Amino acid sequence: MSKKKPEKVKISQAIRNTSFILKIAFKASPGLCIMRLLMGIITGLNHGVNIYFISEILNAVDLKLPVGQIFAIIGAMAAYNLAYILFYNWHWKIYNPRYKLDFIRRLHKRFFVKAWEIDLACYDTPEFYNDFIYSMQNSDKSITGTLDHISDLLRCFVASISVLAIMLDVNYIIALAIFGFAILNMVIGIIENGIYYKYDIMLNKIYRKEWYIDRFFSLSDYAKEIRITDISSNMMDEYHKNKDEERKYHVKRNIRITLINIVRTILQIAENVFIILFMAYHLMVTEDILIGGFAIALMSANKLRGMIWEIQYRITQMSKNSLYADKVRRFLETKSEMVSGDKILDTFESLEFRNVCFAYKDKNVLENVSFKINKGERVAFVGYNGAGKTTTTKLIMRLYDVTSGEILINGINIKEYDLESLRDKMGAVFQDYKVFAATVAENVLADKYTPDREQTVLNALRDSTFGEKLDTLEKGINTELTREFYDDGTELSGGESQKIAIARVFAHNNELIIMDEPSSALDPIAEYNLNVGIDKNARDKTVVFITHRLSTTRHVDRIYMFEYGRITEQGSHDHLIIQNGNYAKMFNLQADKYKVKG
Amino acid sequence: MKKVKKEKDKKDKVKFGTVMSDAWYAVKMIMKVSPMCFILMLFESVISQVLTFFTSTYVLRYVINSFESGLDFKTVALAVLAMLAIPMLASAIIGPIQTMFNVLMFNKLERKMKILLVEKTSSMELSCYENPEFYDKYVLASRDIPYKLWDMTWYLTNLISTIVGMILYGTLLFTMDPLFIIFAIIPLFSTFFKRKGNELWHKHSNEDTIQHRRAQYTQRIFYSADYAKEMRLTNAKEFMLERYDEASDGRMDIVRRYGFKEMLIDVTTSSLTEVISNPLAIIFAVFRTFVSKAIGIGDCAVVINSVNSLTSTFINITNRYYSIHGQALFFEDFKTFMAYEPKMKDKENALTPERGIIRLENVSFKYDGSDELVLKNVNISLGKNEKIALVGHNGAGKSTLIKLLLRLYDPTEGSVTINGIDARDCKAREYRSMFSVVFQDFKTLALPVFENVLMRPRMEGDEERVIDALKKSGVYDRIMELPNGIETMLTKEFDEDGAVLSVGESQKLAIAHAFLKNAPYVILDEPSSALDPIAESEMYSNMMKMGENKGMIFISHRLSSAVSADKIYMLENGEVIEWGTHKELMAKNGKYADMFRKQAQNYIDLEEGENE
Repeated sequence: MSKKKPEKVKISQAIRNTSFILKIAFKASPGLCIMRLLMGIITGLNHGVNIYFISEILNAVDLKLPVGQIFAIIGAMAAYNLAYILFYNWHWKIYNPRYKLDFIRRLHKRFFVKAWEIDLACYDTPEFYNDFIYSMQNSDKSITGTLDHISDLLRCFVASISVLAIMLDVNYIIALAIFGFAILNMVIGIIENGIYYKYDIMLNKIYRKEWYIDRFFSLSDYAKEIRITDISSNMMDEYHKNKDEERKYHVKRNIRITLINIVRTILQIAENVFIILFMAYHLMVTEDILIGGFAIALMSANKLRGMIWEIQYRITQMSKNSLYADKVRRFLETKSEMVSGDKILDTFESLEFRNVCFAYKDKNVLENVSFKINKGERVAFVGYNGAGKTTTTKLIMRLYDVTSGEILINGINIKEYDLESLRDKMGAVFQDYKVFAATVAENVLADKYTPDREQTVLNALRDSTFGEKLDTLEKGINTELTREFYDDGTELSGGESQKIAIARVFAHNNELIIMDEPSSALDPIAEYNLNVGIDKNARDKTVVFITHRLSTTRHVDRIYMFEYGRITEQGSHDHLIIQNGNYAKMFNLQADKYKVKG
Repeated sequence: MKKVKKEKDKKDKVKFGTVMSDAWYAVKMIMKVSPMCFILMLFESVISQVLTFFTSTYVLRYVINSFESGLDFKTVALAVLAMLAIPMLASAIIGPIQTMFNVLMFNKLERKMKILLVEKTSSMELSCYENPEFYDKYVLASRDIPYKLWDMTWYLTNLISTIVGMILYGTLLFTMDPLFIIFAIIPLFSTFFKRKGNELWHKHSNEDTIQHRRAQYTQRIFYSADYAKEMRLTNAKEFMLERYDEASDGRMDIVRRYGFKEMLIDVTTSSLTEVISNPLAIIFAVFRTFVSKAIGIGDCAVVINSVNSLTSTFINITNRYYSIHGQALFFEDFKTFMAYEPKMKDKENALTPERGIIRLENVSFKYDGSDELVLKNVNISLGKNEKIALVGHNGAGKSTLIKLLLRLYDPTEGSVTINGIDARDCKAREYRSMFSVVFQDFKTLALPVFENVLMRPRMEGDEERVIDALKKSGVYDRIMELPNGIETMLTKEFDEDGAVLSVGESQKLAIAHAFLKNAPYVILDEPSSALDPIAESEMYSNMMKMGENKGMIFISHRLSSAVSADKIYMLENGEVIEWGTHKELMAKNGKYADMFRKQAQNYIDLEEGENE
């Protein structure tokens, strides 16, 4: 992704990573792996067998064997081919697709659960998110890819050896020559790869820039700006500058590549001429080979050259792949620092923060935060952006653990509770609420819908003020949301999605509800109705609001004003207004504009 | 019935003539960049085909025949060298030249296409972006055009060289014994099976698409940070795993249903050449050599040795054709895109607009392909120095109205006029340049701060203007804290040291741009994002400052900011339901008043309200 430089791969590391991947693959499906490797060997041998048959038929012709005998060899070749074709296609069309699907399913489920288990904190670390999650998304490709590469490497090795063996049988000098030329080719290939690699690093930045400019012109995000301002000219300038730069590097690189190509072509011509003349000499003058040997020499040389090229390619690919493998390995080895306790939380009674500090990447987000909330209370967290309000709620849900201090629920440290039973009692509407590509009912339940839960769903939707929209949906709560899978799926507006997220909390009958900016996407009327809904639904529940609309905070039991990770003011609205601190200042700023006669 | 998304099955319907004209189109494009480029490509491809033919087939035949007829080695060796000299030399020269030349030409081609595309996309009306089908098919896909042109040309030169190969091999076979042609023709039947196989595969992958997407969706949910919290706090995990299983079962079922059929077809295709026609050709050659003694051992050896290359040239022609065929659809789309006439085009004698009253008269609007009117009979006027506020529910049509005002769309009915002249009669660029706009979703660009404020190429004296604008929008001090001041690169898009601004700061840059542009009209889409009250208030006062002596429209989400407007328009379901000053609307006691009171009630105690 946004790596500055492609990492250099060490061989030992590549081998370690690859064997790690193989182990995972083997565990998921030994059958698939063994077959895949076997397939590599068999297809490799097939190259040799084909050449062998041709050389045998040619030799038989040269020796003027009886026609019947020649036909028998040809028949054997046809029979072998049929058997091979049957096996090959059975593997690729029947065996492999089934086992591979099963294999991927097992891998995925293992990774899904692993991703689910890791701490949320990991997601907030950009390096983690970029590297690990990205590699997880490609994990199946990288694992089956590794398997493919190994199988193909096997094929190339087996094919090279079998071809060389056949040639050795014909004439050892020619076998050595072919081998020698192949090695020379390999050296050239390595040099060439090195050049490409070196320039790829330099070009990486240029490609990224081009990609950005490309998006600028084609994504709708910038379409309006392009039309209203003259910014396209600036971008086009950048584009041409970038292209000039690219050309400079390409020319430098290709001068080197061209030199290599010249050497390679000359080498190839020399090889072909040598093989033809040498073999013709032995055929015609020393007469120690048959035309079979003569004919297959060129073929073998070509095959070997191809195989050597492919071995190089596969190895490069494998070491690239091993970078992913490394990430997959590190990901699977990530231990969740959040250890679930074993106490079951029956009912929620109280929540207390005692001198809680929380640091995130050496930056203190919360400092010495203390407060206590009792069952049935409503409290609001207010304050500037980035003052630590949202972090506090995440700590309450134990999505993070405190750096120091403690959080007590019913007087017992939050860490002692069974995580699932703890989170079961809490419901939250996040600022960045998400709607799943599923039906309305499934979204509200976050689970499979069964008709006996209809009333729960309907009530929750009504209270979250989604009712009006629901009436317009033909299929009611069975309406598919998002166009992810269905063209006629319903796309909800920001406000409507938020209502779904709120209904999710209502439906779950949680005892502690956290609402992070629940009305940010709502217009004033909807906001008002929602507040009524919350009042009705959450009468006997404990609710924590985070909000910038201080109107919401009027009726809460207590307001906590957050500034720079600390609680600077707390108390009821009236109390804080009298205190005339920053809360009062904020409130008045908002309220002033409404204080118009009318 | 649920409409399941499906790829439309058009691929097989492209006609031969179309395919060839598309290939020719690609060649013409490449020729425009450089005729040499195409010639080199073609030459290289043909030469390597000829060389393969000579080295692997013709020389073999010659040597064996000479051996049989007892020629001496020296003569043979010289003849072989002579035969190979020209094609080898040619390939040794052309290959390297091509490596160098192509990279330069491709660079040129990319630029040329880029300019073409940028012109095209910027002239398109905005609605093209909102039509996902049009957007994906044309706008996004066309970005690949340089590669596609290159590939297409490559396929075409390859087809030509394969035909050359076919002629060479065909002539050789024909001169040996005309009957050999039969063995080259048998494998052609395999193309029939191949086609069947492709159709089956197409059906297979079509059926698989939806299940595959389901599976991928689960993957996205599990790995995306966006869903991480929801996944941990609800039981969606089990639900999603179940859905994944369902999708996997569905895919397995498809694999099971198709596997055997696909295998049969593939076995038949390969067997036709490798089990039937190739061995038969060899048997025939041996028969002709030893039984009827019609051909020499050299010819026989050529057949045995090269029967694969012989038959494969025949098959390859169809394969190459299908490669071109596969690309044709893309080119058809691209040509359609290029031929697309923007509906919003400047008229021949388009006028330069002048500052004056802007009126929306009886404006109705619906999006393409939709029957629903987003705006109904809207009448709004904006005087030279007037401040008007648009309020209303989400989805009431406020943003659409702004887009019409900016002439990003033209109204379906009614008209937008400026100083009495219809906006459609004005030059679009000049008309739009009358407005400064601060959009809600403003994004900083990966350019220096300087250009983010400027939003046009630099000119002399711009530096002072930019600094002045930054100061006015209240973000100058913050910018000067950045390592390179106003030359600091924004975003980490391609500069690791690039600065990332907060939402509030980005917004201020947008406002700075509006200050700098100093256009006679200002449009503000008030950010509804979660700004804290202090930041919000600061933003508001900056916006108001900018609007001095200008016509100004702002979309307001919190009615508090509408109070001071000269006129307030309340929209509901695309209609203006109330309009007037705040006082008038409150006196009217309609929907606006209701909305305002609901918002205000928590801020103002009853007594307070009565006292004032």
